[in-house]
Amino acid sequence: MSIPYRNFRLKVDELKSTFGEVKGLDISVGYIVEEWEEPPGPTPFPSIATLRTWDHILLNRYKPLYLPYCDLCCLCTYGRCDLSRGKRGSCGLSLSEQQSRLVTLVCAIGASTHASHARELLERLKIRHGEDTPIDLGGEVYVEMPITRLVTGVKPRTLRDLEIVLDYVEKQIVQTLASVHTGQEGDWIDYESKVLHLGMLDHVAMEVADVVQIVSLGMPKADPEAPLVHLGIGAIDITKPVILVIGHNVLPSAAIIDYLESLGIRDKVEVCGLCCTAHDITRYEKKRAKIIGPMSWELRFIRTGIPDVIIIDEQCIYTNLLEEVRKINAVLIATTDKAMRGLPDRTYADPDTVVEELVSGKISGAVIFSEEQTAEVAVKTALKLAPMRIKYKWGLLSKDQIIEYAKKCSRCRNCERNCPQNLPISTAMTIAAKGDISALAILYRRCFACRRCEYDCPRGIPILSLILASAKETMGEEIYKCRVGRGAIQDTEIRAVGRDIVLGTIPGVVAFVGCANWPDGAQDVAKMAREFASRRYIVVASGCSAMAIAMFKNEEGKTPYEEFSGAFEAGGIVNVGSCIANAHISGAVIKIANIFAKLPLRANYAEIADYILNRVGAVGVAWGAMSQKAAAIASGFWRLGVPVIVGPHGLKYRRMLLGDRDKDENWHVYDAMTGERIYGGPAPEHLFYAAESFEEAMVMIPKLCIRPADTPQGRAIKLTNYISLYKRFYGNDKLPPDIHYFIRTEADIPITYKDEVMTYLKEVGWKEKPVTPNPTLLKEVIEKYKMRRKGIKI
Amino acid sequence: MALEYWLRGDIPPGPIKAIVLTDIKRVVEIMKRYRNSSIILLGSQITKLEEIVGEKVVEKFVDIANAINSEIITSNSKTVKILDSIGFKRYRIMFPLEIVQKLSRNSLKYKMLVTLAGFRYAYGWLLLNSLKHYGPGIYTLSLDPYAQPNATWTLPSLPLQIWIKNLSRLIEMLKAPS
Repeated sequence: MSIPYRNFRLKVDELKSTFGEVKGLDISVGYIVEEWEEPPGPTPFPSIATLRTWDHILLNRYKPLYLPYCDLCCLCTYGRCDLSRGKRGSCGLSLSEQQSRLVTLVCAIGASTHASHARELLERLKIRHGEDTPIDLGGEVYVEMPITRLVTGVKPRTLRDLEIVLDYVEKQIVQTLASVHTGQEGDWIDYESKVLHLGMLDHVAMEVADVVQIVSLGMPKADPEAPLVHLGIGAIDITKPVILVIGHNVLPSAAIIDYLESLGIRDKVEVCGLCCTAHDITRYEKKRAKIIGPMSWELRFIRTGIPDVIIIDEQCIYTNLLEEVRKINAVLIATTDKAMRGLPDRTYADPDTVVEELVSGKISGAVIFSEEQTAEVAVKTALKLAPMRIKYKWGLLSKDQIIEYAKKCSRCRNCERNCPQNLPISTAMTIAAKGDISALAILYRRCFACRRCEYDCPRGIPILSLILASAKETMGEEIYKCRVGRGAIQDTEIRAVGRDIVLGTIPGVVAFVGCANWPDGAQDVAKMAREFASRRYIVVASGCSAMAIAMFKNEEGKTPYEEFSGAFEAGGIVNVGSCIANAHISGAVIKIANIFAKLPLRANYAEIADYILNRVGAVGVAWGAMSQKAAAIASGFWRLGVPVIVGPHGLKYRRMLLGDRDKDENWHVYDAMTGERIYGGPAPEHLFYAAESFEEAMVMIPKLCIRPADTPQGRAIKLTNYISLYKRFYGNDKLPPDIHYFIRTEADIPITYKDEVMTYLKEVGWKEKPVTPNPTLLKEVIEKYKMRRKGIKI
Repeated sequence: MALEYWLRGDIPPGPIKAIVLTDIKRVVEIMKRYRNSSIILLGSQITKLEEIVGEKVVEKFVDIANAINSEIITSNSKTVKILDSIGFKRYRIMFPLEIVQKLSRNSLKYKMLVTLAGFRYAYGWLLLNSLKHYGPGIYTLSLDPYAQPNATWTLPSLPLQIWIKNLSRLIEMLKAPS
């Protein structure tokens, strides 16, 4: 693809001609992005094919293990086609290709959602704050927007500079999505390459979105000491009117805060959020706004009857929310054309008239596209409606009502058969029918309130309401502290830890990201985060996972955000913010290559990704990954060389990317200094992995932080963590059976386990393996090393 | 319900579906046929099933493994502790995805039986579908209380108490001299 500098600029310092002399002529037609000091890299604004070679290197090592959800294809009218056991469809596609095609589609949905979010923020905030608003991410952030610089080669200085970045992302998403049409791409590896391309675009879009809101809305700028705010249903003061905001686009919520402040009544109204809007409203206000919880807390909270007015913006909002809102006699305001929910458009109506319509029940909700109008209607409605809704607050079923409903249960087990968690609902109902509701209350922790049980109950029992009412006490006790999302990582922080990460003496960076589809409840994420922070990994978090980390208290009653530092350092737990803030995690990894290793950043994607894959021990953990966005985020990490572990529900993404440690030829690298091709070992062993259980993830995390470039000391530290966690779960007398693959020389062996490991190595006939501090998968990097050694500018 | 696969949303519209074995004698026949060439995979939920039914489910699978000379493969720490405590040696700790990867990529020369139990339903469902399409030499048998459509053979969806009785009957019949 050509560089999309579509406009024209003529700059002449001095020209002498027969017509006369010209000095300092500078003519611009349209908008030109300023040049920057770093020389252009090899791949500015990459198209689908530009990074294909890098993708194929990755995908030949980490081949898909397909786990088809469906054996058919039903995307065109030639079908449905049976693709089972080697058969092909009418168009020629095989089952494997169809899975890769569907993953491409899923990631296109995810990437376009972030791109659309970014576009909306950019357009609105450009109008409000001016297109010359500078990209200033804080005093200690000198390399702003590393992903954008890496991918496009543009160093954005103002909001206006982000236009061509988003233009590029949008065009590429359309181009890639078109490949999913019948009769386009026809090979799994090129579909998977497109998945990686979409992931990369997704990270650019996320970075644009989050940077736009940070610089325009005064969100924390790389602040390790961002304030702590309240999280949890129990934190809400129900004596006040309650406005609940749900989704991902903070603008309507921010307008509500501004409106309340302008009236001087901010302390009279509770504003609380669910999902990523909750993170962002606390990043905006930094004091009073509260987080209820992740997206799966939506129905939990709404069924308590506490919210008076519910504002929805975009993404991950229950699509029949209006039905639930009507049950509690609250009102719903939709604020984006992406989710209007059949409501009447009242954007241009007089706000007081709309308030009247809502309070009187004439309409149960409205679409209002103007943020200011939304804010006025929401606040006025909440103030009027709250006193009329007192009876609904905490209006859950009584114990007697629960028991009566439980007695109606016919034990058909339809609820269980429709529960994605396979919760033992029927058993709990049997116990409840006898007067003991404790078994129902236990289900609360693992239930993510999808209501599939209710939809399939032949007796019409409101099963979710029964579970919630049984756990009323638990819900009321949900009061935690969450650190406000801090945004980017400082360059100074990267400088301080870069060396230790690359050498392995900080054993890894573990990023807890993604949605709330946890197999056994939120607290598992908190347990993992605490464990790895205690082991001096750098723990970062975003989105619903960052909320889950808050939902745990130690013996002293402190949440992990109170217990650990918020700095990007060994033993820190860093909340970067909402899911678009994931860009700061990939950005930090890129900055390690750029700031610490001094690799050129500008449009130099493959070299940086190769560096990360081989040297930066980072792993993403999306324990509750659910959405298409999560798939796109993960694929952006893969292309950068960062493996991702998902929870058991993540297997539904249809294929994993697994390395095969027994195939030695897959694990060869070049020594960048000598050009020699040597065995680098299975590190990281997998690129995308769905763990079935908590303990499997806990063992897999340290393993996937191992990198070929680890120093012996670093490797020994990483193996200490791997072995000790393995022993904790499987017994002190056991060693991981694959440990010999990761020991190159005796110096890699952790001192604590030396004798035991040596005995095992003898048993399996282990032999020493080569060690290189400069592994690479790219031949061109060898050449670059030579040229750099000779001082030649590349 | 017994002849239907378990989870409603996951019933595939696919053309190759498991045979639901309602007669335990058929299960015995199949397992005996693959004596010495089978493995048993136990998932993370097997010990949760133990808690719910109040029976030593893992030990039942040890009996089955002994009867057909099969290895048990698991990554569930509680299961490992049980196996150690009863002195069962013929087991390996291995993650389910890695064993499925091995089974489907190392196109085996001989036919073998992979028996699964105790996996989260959808997780097991997808592992089985991978083996169905990409492990042509592999036959799969689900011994979970929830019928699995992507296995070659599966037990029916039955209440847990009946399922546990069926497992006991299966063990008796496997142990009985043929």
